[in-house]
Amino acid sequence: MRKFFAIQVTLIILFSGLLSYVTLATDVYDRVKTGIVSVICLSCIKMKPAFEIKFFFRTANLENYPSFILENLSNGIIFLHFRVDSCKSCDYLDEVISDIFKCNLKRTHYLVTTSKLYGVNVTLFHINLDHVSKDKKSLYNLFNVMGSKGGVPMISIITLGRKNESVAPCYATLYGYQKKDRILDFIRECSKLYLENFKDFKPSLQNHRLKGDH
Amino acid sequence: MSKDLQRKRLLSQLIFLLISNLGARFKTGLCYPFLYCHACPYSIAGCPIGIIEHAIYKKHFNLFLLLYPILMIASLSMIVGRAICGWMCPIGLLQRITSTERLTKLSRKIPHSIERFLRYAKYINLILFVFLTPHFLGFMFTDICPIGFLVGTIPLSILYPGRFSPNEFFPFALMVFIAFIILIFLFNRGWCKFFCPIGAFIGLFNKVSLLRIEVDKSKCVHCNACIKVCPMGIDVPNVERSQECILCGRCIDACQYGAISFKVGV
Repeated sequence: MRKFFAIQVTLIILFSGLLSYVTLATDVYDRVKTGIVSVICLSCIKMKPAFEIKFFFRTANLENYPSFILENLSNGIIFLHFRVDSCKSCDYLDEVISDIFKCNLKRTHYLVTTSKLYGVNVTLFHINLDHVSKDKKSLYNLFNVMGSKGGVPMISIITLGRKNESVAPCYATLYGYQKKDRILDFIRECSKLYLENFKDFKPSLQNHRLKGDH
Repeated sequence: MSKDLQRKRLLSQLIFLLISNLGARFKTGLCYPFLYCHACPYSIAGCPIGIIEHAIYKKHFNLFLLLYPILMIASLSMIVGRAICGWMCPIGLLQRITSTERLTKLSRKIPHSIERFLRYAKYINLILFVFLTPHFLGFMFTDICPIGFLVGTIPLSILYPGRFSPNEFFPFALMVFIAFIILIFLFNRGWCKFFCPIGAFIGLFNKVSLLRIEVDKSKCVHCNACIKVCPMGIDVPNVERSQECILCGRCIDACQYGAISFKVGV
């Protein structure tokens, strides 16, 4: 009897000790908080947000566009693609995007590649939120227009639009699995906007203007 | 005395339901020790199954992420065993409401041998759909989880009408959800008995947990009153430390001879 009690106590100490180690000494707690609890996995709810392309000039969290985005906009449009590890829809979408950009996203956590589509350079940033640095993760919040109601997979295309007679970066975001045709339509629309507005685009002015907008 | 125990249990279940849904304001990186979906708009912590699937999905392997929910459940289960199911789990509370004597009478007509076989389904669920298919095929329990449907899909559709549309798993998940609803109305604790993968895992700790149900055989007169009220259908006087026991205490209430009690320790 005493032996059994000793086993019980030993197991409790062992399990709780290991749990404390995993919680305090690794990044698991943060990973669960930011990558699982705070992000709606659309696979889990068996739904995807309704398809609607709506362009925004301000970022979703009202922060400035990162400088690399503005730099890349001089070269063409930017296609941001976010996923997490455990997500069936993300797997399906990976295949579609791999097909469009002629690359292999299987087991790739971060990839940047450029393809010419509809007469415009389209730079793909493929980001697996479970495996990238905080800097890259923060991009998700910049373009996640639905906030806690959004989720993954998420695609944002940043292009150029006209606001109050001046040209500024603008973006639209889609959630959930999308068919190839829809994504190509999305790219076509963004490319058209880019070609219409590119000649008046001045990257150096953009963040000053955005700060004023706030 | 008897009403007191069940009243305390109801209070405990309501408190844990409330705590589980405090996530409207803030989210934590904790993990529920029971089955509750983090896709719920108000969830405060992560679903243990969801976290396990994240850790092993499609031949990825993250040891610490895998250990986190397992150790969370193991630590608590070592102390209170499946009292987690009986006293904490919000789905347990739901089944407490849905299980009416009139409907669950039907389930008693199922032969014992079939019922016994069905009880293994939860272990198959745990091994096959939580560990094997997510790891090798990418098909997850959460893709068709009825709890996710109940606390994630339905509330989100009501809160944000028109913002979401069904994905390719929706028809299957809907069928599973309908089956789940029928199950919890027809069978007393049907989900816990037959399908809950977390219940299956916690049940293993009933064999060694500190808290348990003890039957004083010198006082027992074999009236079987405890067996009749047991929601899990356990042969209480003859089975010690049953993996199925959710420590709800109904047998303690039913025993007029004071032969059954909670015991802490060996």
